[in-house]
Amino acid sequence: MLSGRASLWLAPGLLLLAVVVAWPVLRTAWASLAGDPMENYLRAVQDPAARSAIVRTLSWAIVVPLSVTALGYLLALASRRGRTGNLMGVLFLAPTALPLVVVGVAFRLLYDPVPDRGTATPLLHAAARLVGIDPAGVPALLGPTLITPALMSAFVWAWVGLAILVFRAALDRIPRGLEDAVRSDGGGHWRVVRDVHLPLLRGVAVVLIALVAAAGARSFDLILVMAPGSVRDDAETLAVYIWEATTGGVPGSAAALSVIWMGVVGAGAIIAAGSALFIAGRGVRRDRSRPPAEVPWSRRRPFQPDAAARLLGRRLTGPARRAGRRVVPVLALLFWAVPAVLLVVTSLHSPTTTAVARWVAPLSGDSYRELASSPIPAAFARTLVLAVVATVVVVAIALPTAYVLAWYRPPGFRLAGVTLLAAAVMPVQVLAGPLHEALQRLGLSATAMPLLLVHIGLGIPVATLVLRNAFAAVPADRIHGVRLHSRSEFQALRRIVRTSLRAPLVAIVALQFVQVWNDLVVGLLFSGPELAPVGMELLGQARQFDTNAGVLAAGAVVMSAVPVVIVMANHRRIIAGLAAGVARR
Amino acid sequence: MSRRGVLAGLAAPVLARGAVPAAAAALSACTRPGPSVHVAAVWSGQELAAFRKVLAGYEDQTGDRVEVVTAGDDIDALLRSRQAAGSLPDVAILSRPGLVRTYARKGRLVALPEPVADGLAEGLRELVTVDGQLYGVWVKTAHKSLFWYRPSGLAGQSPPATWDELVDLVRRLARDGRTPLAVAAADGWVLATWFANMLLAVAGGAEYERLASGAGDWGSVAVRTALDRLAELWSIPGAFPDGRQVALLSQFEQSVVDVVVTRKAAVMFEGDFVATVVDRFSDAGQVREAPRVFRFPTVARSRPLVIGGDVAVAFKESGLELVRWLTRPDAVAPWVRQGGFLSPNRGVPLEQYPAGVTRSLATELRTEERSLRFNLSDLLADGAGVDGRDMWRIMQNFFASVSTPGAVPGRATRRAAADLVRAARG
Repeated sequence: MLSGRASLWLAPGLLLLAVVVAWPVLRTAWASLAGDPMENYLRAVQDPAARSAIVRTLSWAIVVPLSVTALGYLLALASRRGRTGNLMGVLFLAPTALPLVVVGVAFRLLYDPVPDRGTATPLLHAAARLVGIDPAGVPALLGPTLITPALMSAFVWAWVGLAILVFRAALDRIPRGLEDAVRSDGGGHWRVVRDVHLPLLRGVAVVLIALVAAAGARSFDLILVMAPGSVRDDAETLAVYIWEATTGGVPGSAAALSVIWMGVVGAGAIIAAGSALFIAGRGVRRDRSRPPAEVPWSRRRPFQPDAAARLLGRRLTGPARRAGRRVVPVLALLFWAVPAVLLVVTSLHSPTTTAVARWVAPLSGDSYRELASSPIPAAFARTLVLAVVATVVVVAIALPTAYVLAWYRPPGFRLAGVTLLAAAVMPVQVLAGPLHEALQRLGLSATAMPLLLVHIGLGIPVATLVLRNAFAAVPADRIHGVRLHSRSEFQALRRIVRTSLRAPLVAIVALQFVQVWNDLVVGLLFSGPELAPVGMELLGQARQFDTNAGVLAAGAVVMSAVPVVIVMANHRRIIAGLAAGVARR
Repeated sequence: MSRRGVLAGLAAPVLARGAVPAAAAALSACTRPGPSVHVAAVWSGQELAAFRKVLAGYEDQTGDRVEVVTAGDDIDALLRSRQAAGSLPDVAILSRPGLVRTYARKGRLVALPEPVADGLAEGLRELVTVDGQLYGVWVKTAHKSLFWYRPSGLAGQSPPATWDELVDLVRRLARDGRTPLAVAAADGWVLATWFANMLLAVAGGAEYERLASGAGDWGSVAVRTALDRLAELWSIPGAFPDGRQVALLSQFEQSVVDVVVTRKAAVMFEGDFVATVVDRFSDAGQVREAPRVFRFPTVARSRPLVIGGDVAVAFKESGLELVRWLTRPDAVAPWVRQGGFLSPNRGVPLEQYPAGVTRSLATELRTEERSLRFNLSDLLADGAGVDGRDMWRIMQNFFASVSTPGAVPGRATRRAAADLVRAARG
């Protein structure tokens, strides 16, 4: 069924994936076998630093997704009703759009250990005094014992918005009568949760847990920005460990550790996705009469009573209970806003005063002025060009690839989903060493080409996956009709995209752009200082963190404005597009 | 147009941006008179601006154009990738003599063809000499054996002359609840400089050099004594503003702020470049009392002088003229007069330095030329034996354990010494 030309459409995507992902993976595997393979693998897991990095990475992969999912579910329940709920959903979404570099800056400000300058530390000390503990004995929030929980809290802060949106959309799809039926049967809130939510939301939860686990296990940017030099070792995950172990070539034991890591990440993602599809498949069959969410979640006005708020305000009655129901989500939102507000407030003081005080100081535009004379504005321009070009190329390659995969089903198409998924979660720190070798041989090292190439290569798997699923969701007779009336395959593709693929395409364009804009790790691994994208410039400004807080905060605010505006302006289409791309049997 | 063609077309503008050095070279070759020299430097900010003034003199004299880029944190990475892409600069300014020797052994550097009149101490020149060939010239030095203090913070005491006096002073002020000592333990390089000074004082120049070259024994008595002496100071309870946990998370500039701006501490330790940080806060009107300096005190009758510095090397013949020009005393005159700069060159007249701290430091460097040594962690070779990063890490762990209340004296020292020995084995 596959015509020659259609297979040509697959070529660019395959070629890029082969260069940017497949070859480095194979090269690393080969390097791990160099010399005495047994010894490489043994040494890899015997090094105490590597072992603690493994344990830390595992704890990231377990604690963070569970917290994000649980918090997201509770807040989704609490914010399910009415206009304020919708507004809340959108506001919680904002941190999701932030670069992790910026999240790191905000939380390092928040957890500042100096009591008269910090925010969380004086509160913690006051609490300690209240219960009669000497504050000097309370571990510092960024100190060796608490650094990993502190980093995790920042990560959870950034990701919960996504979980809320996903759960709200899923809750809205639950048939109205189900919850009421349980209740009229005399069931309490827990029975609603156990008998209705748990079975129906399981699929969504698994996907979410897998997604957050993959992201959390690769956490890197946050650690680089947020962990002070003396506790870097106490915060080190595999991503950081492997990055440091492979800067001067890839020794056998580092390669062995990389192989183990890639294997675990890849297998984890595939198992999670497989079980999610299995569960979702059962859920969809049960729910076949309902069309997929065509009405955006935010325009819906579901009638379900607010379970979480009721749980929290159970003992209250009448107006007090209603007020409680309103207040809980608003309080949560205010609490959630603190790091972002601290960031903005800090940026509005002069850089030298931020070395002394953060919240209260005379307002000044000096931090922004100093920012304007730093190398950061030039980096903004560079990053903009980079993000636009990378996005255009990724879409140009992923769109036809996805179309061919979904429609022509070339040989091996069944494996495409699994392969793309595995490629999407490959940690870039592992790919870097071998890629550098290749780029040096091609003489491309000191150009912007590696940066661009890697961004494109890393963007293609997700974009192709989502678009392929979106194509597959288009009814076959519609595609037949369009193809019948088109002069060329290209024209047919254009028409299908225009009529049925708008939302997924917007979602992919927005996400790809934001991903490149927000990047730190690819810039760090693949660009020289002359070509540093904005994330790297910001990291450079963080070298002396506390005495440069004003400029850093100003840079962070400006850097965040772009992705926040893009995601907020398109959030409906992004969610709808991703839902259409993910919800597939 | 094939899709790959589209890709190439789209990538072209970015690629062109990437090829800035090459493109700039081509551009300047056809639009400006004279050849153009490319320089990659470790400096940025104020230092880079001052260096540009120095280069302007070269441009005026030769008619050549000089293009400088700042390499940021990792000039080694920049140079490696430029090497691979075939676009190495003509000249680079490096801050680690170890790097100069590594490059020279790999045959990447152009040796200076005839002896240059750089007016340098023999020891400094040796650091950048490989197989009898000189591969670099020293442009700038840093005095790294200084304590900065706020006179009013010493409670009427005079600055200490010996290590024992310093320990006494800190102990007494700490007992009065004054948290006298700001230590930037979050920056490993600061702790490494403390250790370098102490080691030089305790072990003497010869053993210091053996350790720096990888031939010494990290398990020696001198190494353990040096660690013990540091522990005497760092283990004093109440010595650090906001406690030891905050000290462990404080960075270099923070420790300056603790002394001169918030006045939480009386004394901090680091090189002459502390002055640039102080200036930044004085310009903002946040410094009420100008800090003063005292030398790293005498330990067992010897007073260490540790320096840092930056070397100019040539990757191509076309860069040799600039490198040689940088050894002329009048070449760096604009930077000398501006302040914040110490020249390793004896030909620079002392009167040219701004009066005060800078001039007296320049004088010290000259009178103690025989006993001064280069900063240990910058000398240690990468990868083999104890390298700079190992040193940072071991010193940070050492600080964390000796400052813990109730720490058993001697145990932290034994552990740090064992860590050094293990790192030396690789």
